[in-house]
This record gives sequence, C-alpha cells and structure tokens, in this order.
Amino acid sequence: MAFLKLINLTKRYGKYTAVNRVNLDVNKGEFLVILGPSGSGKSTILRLIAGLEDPDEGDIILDGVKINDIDPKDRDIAMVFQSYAIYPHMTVYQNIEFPLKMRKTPSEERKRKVKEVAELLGISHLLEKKAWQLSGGEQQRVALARALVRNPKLFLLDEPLSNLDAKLRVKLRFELRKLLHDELKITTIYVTHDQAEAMTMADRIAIINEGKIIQVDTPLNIYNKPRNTFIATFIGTPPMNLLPGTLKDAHLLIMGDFKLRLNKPLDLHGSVFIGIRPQHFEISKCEPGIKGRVTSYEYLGDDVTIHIDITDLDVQVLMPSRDLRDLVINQEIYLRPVDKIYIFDELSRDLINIIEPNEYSHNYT
Amino acid sequence: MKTRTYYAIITLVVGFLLFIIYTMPFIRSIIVSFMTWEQASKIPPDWIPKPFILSNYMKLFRIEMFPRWVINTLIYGVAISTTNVFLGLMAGYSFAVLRYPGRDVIFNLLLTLMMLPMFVTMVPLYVILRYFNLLDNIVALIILGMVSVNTVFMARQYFLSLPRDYFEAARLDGASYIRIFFEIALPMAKPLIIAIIVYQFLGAWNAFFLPVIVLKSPENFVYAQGLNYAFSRAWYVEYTPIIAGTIIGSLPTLLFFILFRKYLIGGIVIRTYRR
Amino acid sequence: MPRKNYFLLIPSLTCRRKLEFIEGFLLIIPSVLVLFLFGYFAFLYAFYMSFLKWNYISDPVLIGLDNYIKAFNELLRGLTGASWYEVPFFIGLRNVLIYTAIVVPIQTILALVLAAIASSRVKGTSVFATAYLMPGFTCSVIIALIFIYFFSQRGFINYVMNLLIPGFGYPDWVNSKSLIIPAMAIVAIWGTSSNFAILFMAAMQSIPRDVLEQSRLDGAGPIKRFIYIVLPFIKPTVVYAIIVGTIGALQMFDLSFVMAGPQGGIEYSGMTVVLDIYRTAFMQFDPGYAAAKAMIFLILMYIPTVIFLRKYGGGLK
Repeated sequence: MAFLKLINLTKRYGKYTAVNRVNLDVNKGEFLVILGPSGSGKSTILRLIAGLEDPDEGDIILDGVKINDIDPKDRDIAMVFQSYAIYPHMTVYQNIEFPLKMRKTPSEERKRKVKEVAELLGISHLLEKKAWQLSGGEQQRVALARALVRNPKLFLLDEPLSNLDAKLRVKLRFELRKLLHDELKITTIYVTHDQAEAMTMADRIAIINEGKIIQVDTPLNIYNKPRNTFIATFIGTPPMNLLPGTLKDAHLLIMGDFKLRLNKPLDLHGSVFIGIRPQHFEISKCEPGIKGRVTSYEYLGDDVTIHIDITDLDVQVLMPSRDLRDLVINQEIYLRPVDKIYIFDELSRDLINIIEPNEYSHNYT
Repeated sequence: MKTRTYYAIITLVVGFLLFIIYTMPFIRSIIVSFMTWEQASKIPPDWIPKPFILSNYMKLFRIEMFPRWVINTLIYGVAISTTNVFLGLMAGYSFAVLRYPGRDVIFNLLLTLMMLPMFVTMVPLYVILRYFNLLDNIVALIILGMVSVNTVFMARQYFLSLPRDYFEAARLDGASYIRIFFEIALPMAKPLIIAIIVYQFLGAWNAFFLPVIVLKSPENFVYAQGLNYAFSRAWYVEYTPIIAGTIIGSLPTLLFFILFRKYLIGGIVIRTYRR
Repeated sequence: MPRKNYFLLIPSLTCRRKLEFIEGFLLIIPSVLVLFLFGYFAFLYAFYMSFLKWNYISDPVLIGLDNYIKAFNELLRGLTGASWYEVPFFIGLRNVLIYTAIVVPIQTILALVLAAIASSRVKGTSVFATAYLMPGFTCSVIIALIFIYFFSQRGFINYVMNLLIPGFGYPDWVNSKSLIIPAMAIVAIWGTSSNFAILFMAAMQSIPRDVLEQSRLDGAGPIKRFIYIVLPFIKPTVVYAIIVGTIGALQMFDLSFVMAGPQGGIEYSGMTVVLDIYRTAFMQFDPGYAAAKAMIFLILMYIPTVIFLRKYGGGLK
C-alpha cells in the first residue's frame, strides 16, 4: 500500500476549482516532484496535505491513517515554504528547537537533536546568530534543519530553490536530493515549476495543470512518452516542436509539404499534430525536407539553438555548435526528422502514436 | 482539528462578549434617548421605551444656545479643515519634494513639537489671545487650529510616497516649484485632502480642551463643551436630554465609520496612529 | 521664468538652487511660523511666566523661584499628611499616578486582545472589529457624559455589579470619593483601548503569513503562536502604545473636568494635575504658579518616559 494516498482530493475557492479530483500515490522513501506551471494548484495540494487548508472533497491517507481531520501539528509532516518562513527575531538555535519546544521535548534531548541536525546541514557555526542576519542559502538550511529536527514521516517542499541564484540552485538540487532521499530516506514531495529541477531530482514526476494530475511517471518515461502536447512541450529544453500534419494511408504529410513514407501503415487518418524534438532534426541546404528560413541563433556554449521560420511557425533545432558551418540568417534551408516522431490527436491533444526512426523514410517524390 | 474548533469557539465567545461591552453604551444611549427619565432610571433596566418620546431631543433644541453650539462647531470644523488643507499641503509638499538647507532641521523641530503637551502652552496662549482681545471668540480657536503638526506630517508622508518622476518631469519643462504644487501636486493629493478634512473636522467636532480655555460665554461654546455645560446645569433633574445630546454628538463619528469602514479595517487611511 | 533674487550674493548656491530655497521656504513659512509661535514661543513664555507673580491685570512681579518652592512645599506637605484643601497639586499628582497605573496596563492588554480577535481567521470576527473601533473616534466628553449616566445610582453599571457581586450596593460613583477614579479609569480604558486596537491590528497584519503558518505546522497552538511569534514581532508597537498611553493618561483633563467638575470633585477626589493647573490659572487667577506647576509636571512626565525608552525602545519608527 502506498505510503501517502490522495483520493479524489478537491479544493474550491468560490467558483474556482484549484484542485480537481486529484488521485495520487506516493511510495515510502520516494522523492516525488509535483511539476506544473504557476497557478496549476500544486502549492494548494501541498497545503492540503499539510493541513493548512481543508479539502472540500476527498481523503488524505498517510501510513494507513486518514488524516483529513487531524491538526497540522499532529500529522507528523514537515514543510518548508518558498520563503523559508524563518522566525527572524530568534536565533538559529531557537528556530530549530521550536518544533521540539512546542512538543514539550525535555531540554536535554532538544539540545542534542538540534546539534545533530545542525551538524548534518553544516550550520553548526551559525547556531547563535539571529535569523534575520543570514543569507538566502543559510536561511534555507535553517528551514530544512527545523523541519528535519522532528523526524517527520513526510517532507514537503514548496519551490524551495526559486529564491536563489542560478548557480546555487543547481548545486542545491543535488544536495537536497542526496540529503533527503539517499541519506535520510524520508518520503519527500517537492513542488516546482522548473522542469529541469523535476527531471534531475525526481524518482517520479506528477505533472499537474489546471488542478488536474495529467501524468505520473519516471522522468525518463515522461520525457520519452509524454501523454499529451502540454507535457510534451513543457518537458525538455528547448521545447518540442509541434507541427500540423496529415496522416493518409502509408504516408505522413508534414506542414502540407513534406511527405514521409511509413514502413508500417498506421490505422489512423486525418489531421494530427506532429511533435519533433529540436535535437531530432537534420538541417540541409537541399531537399528533401521541410522548407524554412533561418531567423536567429541562441548560443549555449557547446550547443546552439537555431530558430527557423516555416510559414510563420517558429521551429527550434538544437545541434552541436561545431556542426553549424556556414549557416546564415535568412538562409533557406530544409529540415528533416531523424529520430522519434510523436503523433498527437488534433482535438484532444493526446498522444496517439510514436513513430520510431526505423519505421519511416524520406520520400523523394 | 478538534483543538482548532475549540479555540474558534473561545475566540467567538470572548469576541462576542467584548462586542457587547463595546457597543452597549451606544445602544443603550440610543434607546434611553427616547425614554422618559423615570423609565431610564429603572432597575432592573428597561430596554423598550414605553412611551416612546421625542421630547428629549426637543428639549435640547429648546435650549436657546443648543443650535448655536452646533453651528459654532460646524463653522470651526469647516474653517480649520480648509486652512489645514492649504497650509498643510504646502508645507508637506515643500518638506517632501523640495531641497533646501535647513529643511530637515526645521522638520525635526516640528516633530519635537508633538511632544510638547498642551497643559504647558495653554496659559501663555490664553495670555496672548487676551492681549489681542480674541478671547471668547471662535476666531481664536480657528487661529490656534489653523494648521497642526499632524497635518504637516501626514502631508509630507503622502508626498514622499508619490513617484518623483512627475515632479522632475515638470521641473525639466521649466515650471517653478510653486507652479508644480498647484498644477501637479494638488490634483494628485485627493486622498490626502480627504484624510485631512476628515481628521480635522472630527477633531473640531470632538474638541474640548482648547475651547474650554478660550471660550467663556455659553453661547459661544462648541458642541462638546456646550453639552457638558447643559449637563452641569441640569444635574439631578433630568439626564435623558443630555443622553439625546450625546447621540447627536456621536453622529459625525457614525458617519465617518459608515463611509470609511473599508479603509479602516485595511489600516490605510488612519495614518494618524502610525508614526 | 526669470525672477529677481538677491541670493546671487551667495556664490555657493546656483540660480536654480536659490529659487528652490525661496520657494521652499515660502511654502512652509505660514505653517512653521504659526506652529513655532504656538509651540516654542508659548513654551518659552510659560517658562518666563513661572517666575512671575501675576493676575493678568496688574503688572507682573518677578519673584524668582518662589512659585517652584511653593509647589514643592505643597508636594511635601501632601506626603506628610496635610488636609486635602491645602494640597491640590499633590492630590492631583497622586490621583493621576494611580489612574495611569490602572489605565495603561489594562488598556494595552485589552487592545491586544481586541486586535487579536479582530484579526483572527475565525469566521465572524471581522464584524466585531467595527464595534471595537468605534469608541476610539468618539469624543471623550461625549463618552464621559454617557458613562456618567451609567455610573449613576440607578444606572446600568450598578445593576451589572450587583449581578456579579451580590451586595455591592448602589453608590453614586461620580460623587463618591473612592469610586470616582475607578470610574474615570473604566471610561478611559473603554475609549482608548479602541485607539490602540487599531494600531495593533495594523501591526499584526504586517506579520508575514508564511511565518505564522510555519509555526502552526511546528506545533504552536494559537496561544503559543501569540506569545512566541506575534508579540515579539509587534514589540515596537506595543512599546510605543505604552509610552503614548502613559503620556496621555498623565495629562488627563476632560474626563475629570466633566465627571468630577472643574473643582476636582469632593475633597479633590477627582483632581488631576492638569485640572489643577487649569484651576490655578483660570479660577485662582495665578498664571505664574500654574506655569511653574506645568514645568515641574513636564519634567516629571518625561524623565521616566525617556528611561523607559532607553530600556525597551530601539527601532521605534
């Protein structure tokens, strides 16, 4: 049985449904990331689990016990806010010991535990400092220490890295996962809108949009088999390109122009959306290919993203910089897919099929 | 969850008790103002006027001086609201936007003035007014209340909070600072003007200390002062007309509340208590 | 717009700066003059007056420190048990100190409770907020007049007191030597707690919501949250409220004037210092003595305030 189960969880604010019949299972010791754009309801789910808000419908079951009606402080769940919510007027020591003090833990034991946790997070030297004097990274560690000091069953983090500068963010991603998942083995739910964070940190990712969970799977599976166009374009940088196309018998027509011959005819007909990742294109100066015009470059060091205009659609192609050779702006070029092609239903935007690279070939007619 | 509802109940119960304590004087006064003195002095207290009379209010108006008190106070209120708006805004603007030597020193001296209690200045002010034969004259009150440090402070805070770009753009266009004041600062200061008017008018209506020192003839009294005078003469005879008078005296406050309730709870308008 | 200005004589100021100077001053002169006149000038005049013997009409006589000596004498004699009519200044001071000691703590705590309830997230408390804030804007004289009725022999207060404490009796509070100060204290607490409640409400609203929620998660119940999080956060406001409250209570005048009368009530039981100063200046026509007493009280008032500020203040803006 899953360690944490959310069953049909719903939360409304007036007419607006923030969390819509969410079902989610989290396994013990798992590092689950809830990923979604701003306003998708991910923070609300966290607050519901923590007990800061009450659900309108649905149940939350932690370790076999239904916790809907249990006070937040008795749920044995720790949470770290985006702003860290450090008590500014207390010292670091007092901040960390606060949860224990509230539980009336004897002071000897408190001292021991605080020192332990401070040691673990490398902030022992800050214990006597007043909290408002600390830097962002230090405050975050204090928030973590305070949350860890009571050995919670479940650890919740709400976008903890978004207040930090980029370099620190990358470093801390790794450290957080190592600490929570590898060393302490605490079941963790981590909320973010940053798909890179989700991809690098999660055991599984739960993608949420407009209050609904769309897909829950490992990062690799989500990357390789996105369930719909939203996920397909949300995961992966640069985002997957979506091109209109038509399926007819054994041919796939892309952008009304370029024909691909399918080795195995699909049982589908009609208009579709075609998804091709920027890394899966080949650029050539001559046919066959989809005709387009180079508009700009984005250098990323070893790689470069090339923006190509195809009848007003901006298609992005990612390639190693050394393959750039002599492409110039406004040059006319031809694009060819050379790897997976994703087929999405035109109306529902769901994934219908994935065409592997060996299942098609370029047509010369 | 259980503890949460437990605390919620306690909060509501205590809150309600306090609610009763804080509204009861007003409510009972309103009720009593329509009662006869006999009924008003009953123990245990009655809560429904039987008979329901308006004579308490009528008696008030029959005191010849009562309407005069109301008028005096209105004049006082309108006058100092106006002068405070003009003088306060000019000074506040100058302190906030312009730069000149001595500006901060003078402003801090003004601030320190807030700490000077009235009981120290009341005697000299009396003497000064006496010298100019202004005693027992509402004009004296108006002169004394022409501008208050509070108003200047509020105005300065307000102008400090406005984006400087407006003023600097006009300056670049060649306008003089005084011109900028009339054509840019004043129109942008509507909320401030309202706040000053409300604060000064309420202050005038509730004024007591200065009027007691300055005004001597009963017909020149302001409202609170006059009502107290009526009370001291009607002592032990009949108190209900005085209660009626207190209701009338609380009307401006009630009005203020109805109009500005939203801002109040938001804590925005009343910067008087913020320093 | 070229303007004639004579500040060209000051080489350090540019033309533009001089303009700013003039205009700046022009705008503040009326207000500053008026305020300084009625403030600092009056203060200095009062100081000068305290060394005079005068009755407003004949010529003033310089008598040096005599007024001050007389005042201290009065205080001394009051301490050593002189009869009430000889030592109004002393009685006024004693009364106002007792009054302040009762009023300030209770009104501060009450204001905190009111603010906590009005800002709480329990549904329905925002309705209470309007009621709590009303007395703060009502005239103190009006409130006093209302309460005089309540404090009368057959008034509401006696009714309630007898319900709570059987056998309390039906005294006339305002005319009772022992009950007049408690009566004034109750009126003041009722009215002024309202004012400070607004102040505390504003301060409480500025506490970041995250911090409060975190403390909830950490296991702090509403009371513990208040003690460990809310109070430390609003400490500067509370200190400010105590100081302003004390200064206001010490200067109390209108309540005593209305409830006890200009003579200070029976055997001066309702006398306060400011009432005494008023009495001396305007009923005994002795402005010199009044000014001296005012000066003495001014110092008495501010010394402990400054000490308190030094100890608990810090960050008072």
